Amino acid sequence: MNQAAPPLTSPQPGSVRHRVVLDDDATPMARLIARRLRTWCEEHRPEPHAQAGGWVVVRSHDTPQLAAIHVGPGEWRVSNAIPEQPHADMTVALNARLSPVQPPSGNTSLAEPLVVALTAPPGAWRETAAEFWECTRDITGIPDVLVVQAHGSLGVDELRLGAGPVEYGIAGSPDQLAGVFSGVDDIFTALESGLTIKGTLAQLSVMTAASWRVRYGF
Amino acid sequence: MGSDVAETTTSTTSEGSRSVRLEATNHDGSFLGKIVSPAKFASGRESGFAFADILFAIDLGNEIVFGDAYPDWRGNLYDIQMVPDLSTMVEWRPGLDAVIGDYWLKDGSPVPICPRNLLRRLVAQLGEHGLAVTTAVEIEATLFEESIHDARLRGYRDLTPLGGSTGATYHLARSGDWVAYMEAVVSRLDDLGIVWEAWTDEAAAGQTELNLAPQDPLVLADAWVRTRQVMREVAFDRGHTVSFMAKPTAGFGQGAHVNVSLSRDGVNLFHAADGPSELMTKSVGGLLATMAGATSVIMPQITSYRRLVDLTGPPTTISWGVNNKTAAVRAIVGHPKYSRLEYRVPGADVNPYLALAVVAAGMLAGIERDIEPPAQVSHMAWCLPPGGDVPRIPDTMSKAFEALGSDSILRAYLGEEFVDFWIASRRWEWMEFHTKGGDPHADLSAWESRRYFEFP
Repeated sequence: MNQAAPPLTSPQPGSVRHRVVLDDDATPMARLIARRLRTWCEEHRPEPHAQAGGWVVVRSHDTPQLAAIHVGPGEWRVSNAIPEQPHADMTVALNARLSPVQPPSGNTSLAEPLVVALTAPPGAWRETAAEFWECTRDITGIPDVLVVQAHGSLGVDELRLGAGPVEYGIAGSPDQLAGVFSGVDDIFTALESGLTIKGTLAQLSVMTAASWRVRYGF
Repeated sequence: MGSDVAETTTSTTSEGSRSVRLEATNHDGSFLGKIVSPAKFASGRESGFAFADILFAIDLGNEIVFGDAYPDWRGNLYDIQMVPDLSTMVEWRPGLDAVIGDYWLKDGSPVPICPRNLLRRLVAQLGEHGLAVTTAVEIEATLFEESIHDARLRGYRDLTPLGGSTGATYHLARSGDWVAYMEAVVSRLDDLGIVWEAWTDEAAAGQTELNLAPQDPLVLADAWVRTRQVMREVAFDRGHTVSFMAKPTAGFGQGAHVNVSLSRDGVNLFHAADGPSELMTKSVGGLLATMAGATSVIMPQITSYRRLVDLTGPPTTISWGVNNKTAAVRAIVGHPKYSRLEYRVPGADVNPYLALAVVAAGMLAGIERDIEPPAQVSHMAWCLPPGGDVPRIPDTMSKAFEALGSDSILRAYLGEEFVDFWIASRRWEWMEFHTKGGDPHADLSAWESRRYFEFP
């Protein structure tokens, strides 16, 4: 049984939705790819194409992780299972927003639309923060208030989400914040590159769960 | 040292003791503790010794485990108390005593995720039904010729099985180094008062099986963790290496079969004249009803799941059968002394306390909830066609922790806090494997060898 993506958009009259399907028991990399493809489909509402299908293997450039995407009419299927003879191959940096480390090989007409979808930049930090907050409210132990500070060229811009006595602070550049809140970036990678947080160890544990929710869909 | 302290010290430690080793396992089954002076031990033997709560949140790669909501007793590295159980005090070797303890909170309540306290509670719950639990274990381990230093240099790969590399199981003609190792191990066990029954050559080259005698679950688990330590120490002393990984090489795996029976007033209640007793049947029902979720606990690591290959020994289906070693639970019937269940799922890498705790929980559930087992499998329980009545054991860590999360029975018996903690710790482990260099497509990845070969 496969996990079909929930409806991504309201069906337009006369149109068919482009679906992203994720195989059962998917690995983190497969989950990440599916999340990125779904987000892109939500934002761009691609028309289902009628070209012949094929498999594109996506490899991590610095770990053994890999996943495969079957490109078919109206559907991208993301799988842990790797076909013996894929039609295209691409190697990406998972912690650099899935950017290819070299051009795709093989049938590039299959791979190139995927590169576009996978490397789409995150939205604005305020919108992604609000979406993150909405998406993670039900996680046990999540703080009452998220205080976000964006350090931009014009100074510090602050956003407070939620209400209550328990606060959690997160600060960084607008792009760092958008990356973490959208799930495009890994929270620990972001911490290593300058994102800062203010809270307890327990809160960081919960925020880790929240960041996994938006990055991997747990 | 003041005279009062000296008097107290000599009343609990052995003559000539120069230090005391405090021992306990964390969730992963790692044998943790610290060495204290006799005077320090005397001062803390009742109030306990402070350990940082992080011992339950450090993974085998020394990373802090994140991803769950901490309970109130955990914080920015709070202290918890390890209180020694003086009944476990032994002279480990001249000059060093050893004692096993449990973790307690400052208010005197047990740490809810402390493995030894969890097992104690479940055994006591069975006791409330007037039932005494008797358990035994078959410990499997693989021995290698190289020293641990050489093994580390090689990344724990391409080691030479001790005793020869050809066919195995019951061979008495293993080379003398293998035999001498095992004789040294059981000699140490004798010195420590750990009762063993048998040891033998097992299925993989270099592999041994050492059986500990039937006894109370807490006593057995203590003996089990100490036996592992003895086997490591003897290997070190003799310049060899031992591993309890579920699969130390890409060849055969290794398990830890638990044998269990229930008795009242010395009468084995698993025995009936005509097959499984009613109590045995209910116990089987509970063990099978909880098996999918329990798998997460008793197959704790990524490599644990690489054992699950049909026709190689471990069970692969949620099944039981009388005298059926291809099933997950083998019922041995027909004799008041030997009637028992053999629970064959745990890997050699299991935390012993948690292995026995999930067995106790399953039996309790079966008895208290009157759970009837499915029909026993009288044919081979491997290679069954998909979609039949016999489900397969979860074969990945992620499937297993998902099964545990939805198991209301285990949540009730192991406790919500333990189950949520465990799932978070396994999700973290799964993430570490996939994102930090593990290779699910390899027979056995280097990441696994580095992480699991030496511990637990």
